[in-house]
Amino acid sequence: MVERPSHLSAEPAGGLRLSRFSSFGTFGTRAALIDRPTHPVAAFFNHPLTLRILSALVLFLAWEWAGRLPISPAFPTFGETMVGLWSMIADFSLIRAFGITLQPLAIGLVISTLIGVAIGVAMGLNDKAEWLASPIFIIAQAAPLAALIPLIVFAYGIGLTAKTLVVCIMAMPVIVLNSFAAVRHTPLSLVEMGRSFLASRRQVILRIILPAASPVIFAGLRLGCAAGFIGAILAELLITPTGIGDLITYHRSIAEYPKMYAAILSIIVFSVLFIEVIERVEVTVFRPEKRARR
Amino acid sequence: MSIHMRLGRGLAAGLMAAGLTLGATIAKAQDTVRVALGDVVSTETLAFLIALERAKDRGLNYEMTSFAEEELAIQSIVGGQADIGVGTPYSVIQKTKVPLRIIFQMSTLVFYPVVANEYQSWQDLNGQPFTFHGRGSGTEAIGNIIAAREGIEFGERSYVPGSDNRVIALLNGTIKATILDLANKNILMEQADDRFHVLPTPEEKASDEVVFASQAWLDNNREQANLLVEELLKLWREMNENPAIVEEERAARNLLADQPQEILAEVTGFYTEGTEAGLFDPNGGGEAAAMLDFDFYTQAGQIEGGTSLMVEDYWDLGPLEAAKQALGG
Repeated sequence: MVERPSHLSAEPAGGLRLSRFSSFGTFGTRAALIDRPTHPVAAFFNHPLTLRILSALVLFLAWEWAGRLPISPAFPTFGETMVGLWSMIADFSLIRAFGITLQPLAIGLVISTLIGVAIGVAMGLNDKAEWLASPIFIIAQAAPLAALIPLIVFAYGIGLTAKTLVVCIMAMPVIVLNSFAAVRHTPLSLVEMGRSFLASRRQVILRIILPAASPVIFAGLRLGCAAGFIGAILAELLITPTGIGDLITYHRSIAEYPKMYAAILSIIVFSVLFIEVIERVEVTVFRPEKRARR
Repeated sequence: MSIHMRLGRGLAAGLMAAGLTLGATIAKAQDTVRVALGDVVSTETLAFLIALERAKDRGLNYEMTSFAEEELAIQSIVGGQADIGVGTPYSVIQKTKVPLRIIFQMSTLVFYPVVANEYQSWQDLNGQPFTFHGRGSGTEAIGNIIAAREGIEFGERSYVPGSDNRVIALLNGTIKATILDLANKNILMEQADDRFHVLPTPEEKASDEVVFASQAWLDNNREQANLLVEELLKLWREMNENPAIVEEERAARNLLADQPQEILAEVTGFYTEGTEAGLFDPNGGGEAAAMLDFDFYTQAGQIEGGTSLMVEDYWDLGPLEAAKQALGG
């Protein structure tokens, strides 16, 4: 565990404490500036959870309305999609599909995270590593992956290897380039302070650069995971239909559109929840100062 | 003049211009038939293209859009962005309740089960892995029907879309048994007829690709529909008499000019073998084909109801009847 810089542990008083004790914590710093008690009803409507549920409700209502119009006879209502979702949960086909889709996804994300952060940090610390690696990842990030998939299939076949590779190609450049930028943008004054206190190179990296870079590294991880999900589904749609990709193509081919949209919705929800979990892990395990502010 | 009035007038003028443009587009769309193809134009769809060109000579203007997938072509008809589509719309007709109607059978499902030599008969494939194009696809339906007739059950099923991809997988030894289309069966046999052989399939063949349109378009554009189906039926009959006509017409009209010579050299061969294998029905499908399709696609799991379904809910036989009367027979 990285020791955090001592200046971060000193908190401003007043409003922050108020937000911690009120039943619906408001947006910390704003409350601190205004410094007056918020009405409970207003607090309820301003609460992040209320706003999130409300925005989801608006989306579902708009979906239901678009399905009832209908914007296309092939577009199911939200209700029909939920019925389709339930039938796929009840006959276990959704769970089986996730079991298959998660294999290349999990392997790809673990590889991309470990190697990606390592390469990104190395690039940030060392100019030669940057020159060597950055063109590869900038090209990989800009390349149209769907057009490259036939090439991957020729080289690696149609199995797990090819799909894992697609996940890596999608996820790794984002993780690498964010880690690189994070390390590069460490405040110089902090590094100089460390040096003036006679910190070794290792201490500067572990106690100053990495803690300062961690917010952007984690932002890169979240973006990389989102890209990895896209890669996993893309691979299943374009290489061989398995898992969630199979549910989407199969139900489309037999015109079971509610189930097709339910499969798409399920992977989106899963992806959002997964990224939310990463954020929680980041806050609770790696960044105590952010947790204190919540 | 106040700023509000100016704004209002400007907006009104803009809306009018937009309305006029939209009106013009709709008017244009009605005399040009928009054709949606679920694939790029190739040897397989060349005959359809020639029939369209012949219809064009007789006054049917058309514009063709190639889609990456058949489902997208069907959706463009469902959404009203195209008039005539090519594909297999049975499940869409049944499940979305969109009034699409089939007017012509373009090709039948002529597929060849190709297996490694270690499997000598269907019985040897009992419990063995088998590869299909996709779950619920025509190739899987053929497999299911054969398995039921032979009293066998396949082992693990895997899915690799595209006959060309399955040829590569066969040659690499990744898979040992699959079903291929005519063109790819020939490619495989040319390269490795010492390793693979073709197993027998049932005689009767369901529709692979059919020509269809929305009922509303058919009602409003009867003449164009009749003209197109007449040209299709005429060419399909000529083709069955003399498959070389496709290449003759292609050369005369300079179609597929961007294709390499090797591809064009195979056109006559493809249509000769295709007509022998029954790929192109000289009757253009119709009621008998519809009943066969109901049975087949129900077994494939794409539709429900089998032969109890009503032909008129899926086919508009009007253009085909008119074409048969015009051409005789």
